[in-house]
Amino acid sequence: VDRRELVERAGRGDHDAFAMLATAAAARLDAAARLILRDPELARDAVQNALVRAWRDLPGLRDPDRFDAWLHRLLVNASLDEARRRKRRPVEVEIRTIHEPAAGDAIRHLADRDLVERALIRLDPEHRALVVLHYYLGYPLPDAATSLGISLPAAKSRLHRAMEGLRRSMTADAPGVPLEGGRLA
Amino acid sequence: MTTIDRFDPFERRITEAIEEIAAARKPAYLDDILQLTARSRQRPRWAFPERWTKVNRISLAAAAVAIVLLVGGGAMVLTRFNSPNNGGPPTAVTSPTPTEPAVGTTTPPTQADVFRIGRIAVFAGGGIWVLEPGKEPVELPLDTPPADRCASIAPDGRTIAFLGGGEAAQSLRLVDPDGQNLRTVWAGGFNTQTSHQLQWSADASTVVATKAAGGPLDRRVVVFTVADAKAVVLDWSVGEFPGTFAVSPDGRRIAAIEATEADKASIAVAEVASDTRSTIVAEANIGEIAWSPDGASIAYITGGGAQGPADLHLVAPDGTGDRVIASSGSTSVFSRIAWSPDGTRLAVMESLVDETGQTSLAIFDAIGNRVSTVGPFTMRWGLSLTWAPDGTAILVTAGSNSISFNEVPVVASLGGAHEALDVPAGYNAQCPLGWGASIP
Repeated sequence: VDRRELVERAGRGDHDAFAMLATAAAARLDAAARLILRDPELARDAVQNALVRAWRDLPGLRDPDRFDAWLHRLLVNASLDEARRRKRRPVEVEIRTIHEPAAGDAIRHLADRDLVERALIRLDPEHRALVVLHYYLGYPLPDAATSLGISLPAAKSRLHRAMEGLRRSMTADAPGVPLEGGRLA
Repeated sequence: MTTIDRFDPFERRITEAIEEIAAARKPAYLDDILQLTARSRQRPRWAFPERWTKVNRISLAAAAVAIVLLVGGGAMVLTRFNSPNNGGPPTAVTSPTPTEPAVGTTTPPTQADVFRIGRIAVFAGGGIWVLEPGKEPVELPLDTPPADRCASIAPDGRTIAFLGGGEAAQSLRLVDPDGQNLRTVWAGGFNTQTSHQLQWSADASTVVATKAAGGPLDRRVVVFTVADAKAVVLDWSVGEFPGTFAVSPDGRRIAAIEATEADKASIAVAEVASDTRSTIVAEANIGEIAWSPDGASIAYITGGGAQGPADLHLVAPDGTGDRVIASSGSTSVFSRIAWSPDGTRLAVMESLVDETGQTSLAIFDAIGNRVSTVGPFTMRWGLSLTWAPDGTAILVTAGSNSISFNEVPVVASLGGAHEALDVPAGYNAQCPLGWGASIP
């Protein structure tokens, strides 16, 4: 089924069409929310809020081809809303013990991934949201800036600081192992 | 969706790791949400007036305000006509500041026109190509491929700078536009895993390379002066992106944006000879900077989007005289900035803050009057602006998706028309393109 047609049908109240769109997008939405919030329950709430709002406001979407971008914007905003609410209650965040680098690409690869994950946790949600929009969902910076309601210069500056933060955290966490291009040497 | 050509291994690594960490899978709770939406009602279409009027909410609000003002104004006029004081002295009327685009020719520059203006060096298909008037594009015969997707031609059109030397030890190299006189001018060693930027001074006396040296955070600024064949290295972690540093026209100073705290940055100016730095603008939401050709001013952009209208500032290199000379509307933001070669105009990329992201070029004079608007363009993310040596056109480069800079550049005439530059296959450049003068 043509995706544009699905969006148009959903916009006219066809819930089956919306369910198909939501099913196709759900995995990515859930993953993005988990990346931003680092909490599966909060991520679930964010995805729910984003999809409910998407269904409610879909008749107002002018360009069906922009459905994905629009949905991702709703998701990021819902995630940041959840993050703000989370500030009012403590959340246990699992920080796993880093794997010691050892011989073998697989173990080194795991250790490298752990470094990135630990570094991501140390970013605040706004920075994580930009990293997720840009590096996970693949949006150009102007689109990511629009989604976050910030200017392009601010987005660029924020992304620069996020990447610096990731690099610093990964350098600090790598136990005596120098980083080359961000990867365990 | 992450089919993005990421040239920086660190960014590529982050992308790959994030994909693994997130491990996208259909969530088990989706059916619950769909049951919830099935029980919910959609907002009726009439609740989205911007959909059927094809304008956004801000425009609607502006239109509503305009209608109210018109009705109110009409009522006042009627009241005045009916007033016993109608025969009094006329009220002085001031003309509004001219901010509307100037009307100019709409004849697009042909490729021949463009190349007659000057030489352009581009990275394409793994090599460096020179586009010249009346000639086919020529790929430079290099002993090793350039190490990065960056080639910058000097404003005088006589020299092309690039990073080369292979994987083991990247170095700053220069070559003449005919491929002759290839030389390595700095071999101190750059990090092969990170991206870089190149920028020439306006007088073509100096080329500046910014790139990580050791670790990703250990960035260096290498300043090479052509006349005395001397390179100076500044240990300064700046210049990762286009527009975040600017070389003074004589090559003796460098201005750069330094990150401070969240969404804040400062502008610092370094004296190359003494490697001393001073902060000239502190703690602002600074986007990009550009040094004026006469050396007297640094233009920079602040704000935009959620921070309100973006502002275009001028400040002297010593930090004095900081002032806003132009602002974007509340519905657009500024990015990219470039001075005309004669220093009389500033080109700024202006993008609408809506779902279209429509992008145009705003041309201001040196005191901030908008003299024209060029575009809109189809491209959504402009990477850089480069003025033609004679100031009659602007070269706009863009990234089609994230940091993959393979969208064909556009040449925009100041009359308002624009056309794609005819670049060789495999064009992909991460740095602003230089536009050097033609050599007869």
